[in-house]
Amino acid sequence: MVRHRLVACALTAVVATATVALEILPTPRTYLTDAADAIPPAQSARVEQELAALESRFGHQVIAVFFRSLEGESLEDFTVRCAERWKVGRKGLDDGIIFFAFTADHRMRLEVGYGLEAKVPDALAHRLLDETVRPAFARGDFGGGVIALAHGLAGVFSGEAPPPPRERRHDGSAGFVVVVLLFALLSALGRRRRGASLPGYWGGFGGSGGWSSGGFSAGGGSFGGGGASGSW
Amino acid sequence: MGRVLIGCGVVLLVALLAIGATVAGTYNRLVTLEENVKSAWSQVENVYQRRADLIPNLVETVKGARDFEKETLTAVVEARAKVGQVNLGHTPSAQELQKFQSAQDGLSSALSRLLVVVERYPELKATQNFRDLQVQLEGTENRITVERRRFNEAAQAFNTARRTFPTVLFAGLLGFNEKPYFQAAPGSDKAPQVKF
Repeated sequence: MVRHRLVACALTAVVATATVALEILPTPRTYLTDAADAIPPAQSARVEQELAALESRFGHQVIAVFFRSLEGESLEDFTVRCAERWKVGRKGLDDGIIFFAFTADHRMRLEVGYGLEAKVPDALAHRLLDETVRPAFARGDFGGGVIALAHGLAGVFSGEAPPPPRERRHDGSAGFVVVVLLFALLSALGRRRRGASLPGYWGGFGGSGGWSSGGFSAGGGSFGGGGASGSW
Repeated sequence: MGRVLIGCGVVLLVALLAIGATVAGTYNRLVTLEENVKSAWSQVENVYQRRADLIPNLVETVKGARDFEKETLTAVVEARAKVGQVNLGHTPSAQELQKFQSAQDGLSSALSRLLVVVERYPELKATQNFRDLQVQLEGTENRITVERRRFNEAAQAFNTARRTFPTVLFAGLLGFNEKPYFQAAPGSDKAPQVKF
């Protein structure tokens, strides 16, 4: 009996994961999310560092996400929905960038936040994908492709006067107290509002205090479909 | 007798206050939702304008190619001119939106036709200038899809709130009218996209 139930549970789980394979994930907690096992573990730490370095140097949040397949979905539609949900980049500055790759489809896309559309126009985004990422991906070197992209973006960003990087509070507990108070206030407010119980609704705010010294937390940026798509 | 009158007066006053508070609350909520629709609409106009702004450059670039099909170019220029006439600057009524959409769809199809024709001019297709324009056009079409969807979502949120009881009783009186939606392009459930 118990066994039957277990089997039934397992089956439901399999069916569930099969049907929700391309559901929009919650906001990533790391700069690199590799759901396609495309990057060897030994290299992924390096990729993570390179992407994190972009934020500490320039303030712009850049993350990379690997999926196995689009499951027949439209590339641009799916990626902009992810971008809307994840809110990468700082609130108000909207300076986030998300790199998407779908390894089985050989498709990729760079979603560029509203605030970076002038610095990373579509034509430049396209060139970065085509000339920087594609050669590495064609060799099967996915980690190398993302690192090359990070360097390419660093080059683009250094051509501008960088806005001050997001503050990271490593010191003192004052910041922590503020964050906790803010969080308590927001969740109290959230309880009174309809729809606030959706997971991820406060995701953009919760992280903006930066209480995790490692890992990634989105700052609340918005996207309008800027960027470019490519393939390899 | 006097006490009963006072009692009735108090009850009436409380009822009036309650109704007033409900109406005020509803009014404020509709105002907020209508503002969202307005800002979504201005984004829609922005991205369509962005596409229109690309046309002169595109036309110049394509003209440079030897014996490029004249009709195709003329169709784009004419469709561009029509689009210029439907710029509203305010949230559209159902009729205005229909006009706006048919003008914009006219430009979309003229552009797709142009890009099909360009396939026959490999030397034009190979120039950096044209490739950049192509990427920009592609990006603009993508932004249009995004902003149209957001407009429809904002309009839907407003319409849903407006039609909810008891709001529906006085929404019309307060001057809140139903918002129209963008219709999906005929033959597809997705907004039109230029394919290259």
